[in-house]
Amino acid sequence: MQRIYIHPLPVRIWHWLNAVGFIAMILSGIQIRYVGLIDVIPFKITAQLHTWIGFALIANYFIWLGFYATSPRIRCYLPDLHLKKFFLDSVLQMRYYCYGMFRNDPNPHQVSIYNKFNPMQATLYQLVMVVLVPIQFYTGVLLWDVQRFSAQVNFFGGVRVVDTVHVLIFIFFVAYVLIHPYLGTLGGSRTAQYKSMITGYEEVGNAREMTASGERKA
Amino acid sequence: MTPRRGQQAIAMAGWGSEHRSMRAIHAGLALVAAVVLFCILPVWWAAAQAPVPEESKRCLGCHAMRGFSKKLEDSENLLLQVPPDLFAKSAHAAIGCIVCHADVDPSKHADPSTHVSKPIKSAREYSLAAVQVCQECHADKFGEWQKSIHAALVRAGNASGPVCTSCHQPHTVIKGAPSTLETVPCKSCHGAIFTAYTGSVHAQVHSNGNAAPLLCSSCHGAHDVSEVSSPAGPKTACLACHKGVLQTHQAWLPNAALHFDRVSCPACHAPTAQRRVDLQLVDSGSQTRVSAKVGVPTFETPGKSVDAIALYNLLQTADQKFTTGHATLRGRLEVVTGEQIHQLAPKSQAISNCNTCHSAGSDAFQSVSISVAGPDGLPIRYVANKDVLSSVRSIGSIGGFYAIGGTRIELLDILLMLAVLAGIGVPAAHLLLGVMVRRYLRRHDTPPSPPA
Repeated sequence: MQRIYIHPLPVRIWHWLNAVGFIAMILSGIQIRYVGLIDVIPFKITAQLHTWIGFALIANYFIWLGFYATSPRIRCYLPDLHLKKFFLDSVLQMRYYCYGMFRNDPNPHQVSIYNKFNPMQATLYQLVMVVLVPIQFYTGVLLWDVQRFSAQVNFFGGVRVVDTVHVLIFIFFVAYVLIHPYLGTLGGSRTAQYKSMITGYEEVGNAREMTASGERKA
Repeated sequence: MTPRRGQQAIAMAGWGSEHRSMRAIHAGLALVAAVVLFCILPVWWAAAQAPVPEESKRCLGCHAMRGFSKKLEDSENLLLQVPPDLFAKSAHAAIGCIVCHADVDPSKHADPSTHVSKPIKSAREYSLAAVQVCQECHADKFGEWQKSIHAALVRAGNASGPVCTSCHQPHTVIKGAPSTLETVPCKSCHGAIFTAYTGSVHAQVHSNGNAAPLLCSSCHGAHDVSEVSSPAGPKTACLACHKGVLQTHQAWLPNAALHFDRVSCPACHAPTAQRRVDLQLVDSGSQTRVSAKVGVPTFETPGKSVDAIALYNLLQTADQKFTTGHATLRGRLEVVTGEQIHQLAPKSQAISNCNTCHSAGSDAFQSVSISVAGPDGLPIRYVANKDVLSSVRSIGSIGGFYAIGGTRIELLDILLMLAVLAGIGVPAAHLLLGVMVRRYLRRHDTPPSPPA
């Protein structure tokens, strides 16, 4: 078994601040949207909190962006343009998660510094970090001061359209925040990936090579 | 006599003659002042009394008679009596009768054998014709009136549309605008609103000598009265006096500028009023309200409430027929009635609790109307189903109006529930899958491989 330094400190700081921040944003967003049905915190205070945490998360995003933009580790966020290989690797990965892991089969994906995400993770995290999170931040800023950004809001069809996009992405992140912690338990042990996200180190074994059809090579 | 005494005597003699001269001058000045006052006062008094020209006195010989009237073609009686004392005090006394009543020949009018009775269809017709007479001297006010909603009503044939004589009695009008609430002519038509206004904070504060009276014209203008829900309506008047309120609101109100744009001032400052959302149909190209053409129904069923699908179809129709740009709906939270709009309360009673509007089931969003500009400039309102504010079909139709918590799209609630179910269900399903797979492997004697 090898210990590889997978998650540098800026990434870990960004990750846990993001985790706390997004949960706070989801909870405050629920209070804002369902005011009258839910009245845990007054609407105005919640709106203020939502604004402050939102801007903090935007700043946090730039920690992530600043690190990866200046590091060769950004390769893990770049899409794989070998589509056939990517598709076959994804199928292998899915088979592992649905069947192989229960047989203690080796993980078809071998973690490395420049390839720490399996194909499914890579797809999801690229979608989240490059598309969904920036759009959520952008729509949030537009909603923070609709009148100041009225030209852009009107360009997209009005405040109702912008808010609907913001809520749809919020709905996605509600599911994400529930599923992501569970997927984090699917490492070598239930706590392996949590530990690596705290220490930065991940224990990686020598994965047996597998063919695209799933047969083990000798 | 000593030289000193002689000098004193000479000095006293000089002072004495000088004193006599001063007294003479003072007397002369007093005489001149008396003559001037004697001459000016009567003139001033006479001017104040506006001496009626001689020819007008002859007119008053008949027209001062109590009950003097003329039967019109619609059987209505037109009062021809002119109270001479009030006329003498009026601003028109000095110009006399003939200037305005130029169609009358004084040499023939008084003689029954030569008098030509001018046919008049109705008092309204007479008043409408009189506008042209007023215009000759009061061209500036006429020009302002022409731009007003009052003139638009008249042009549209509204029998109640105010003309000059509706507000200004030409024989008794005095110079200058009304200066007290008791003298404003607006209450003759807008009585209920006037009564509501007298109880408002504006009337209370601006009375009893606290400040100059705040009259109807202070906010609505006098001759250039604009339609109240137009974008350049009374809000600009509010902000003309209440300067800097945007900054004071920004200290505590999120998105204050947006509130200023989409919420009328009385919606918060008349706390007991009933509110509604008015969706104004606007041409995005010209930024003006879409007008209903006379005789062309804008809606297929004006009597029914408009739902989200009908609203969408309406916008498509408006795009094709009525607009130069793109038909959009500009939503605005406003107070329902004119009386309630004028029941402004002191600042301490204004609505400041966000939950009043930003909550599920808020009263503010239970009443929705769609308005277009009528042919006479007044808005024509159609009742819309309140569900249009929360329908997913309205995302494109009412893209510009949204109140967090009060008008949320209910379909998204279903998606949120599905997301929560997925968030719980996917991990649960995976755990269950693991149990099932391991059980299957044990049953078929295929033990799991040792961990790598």
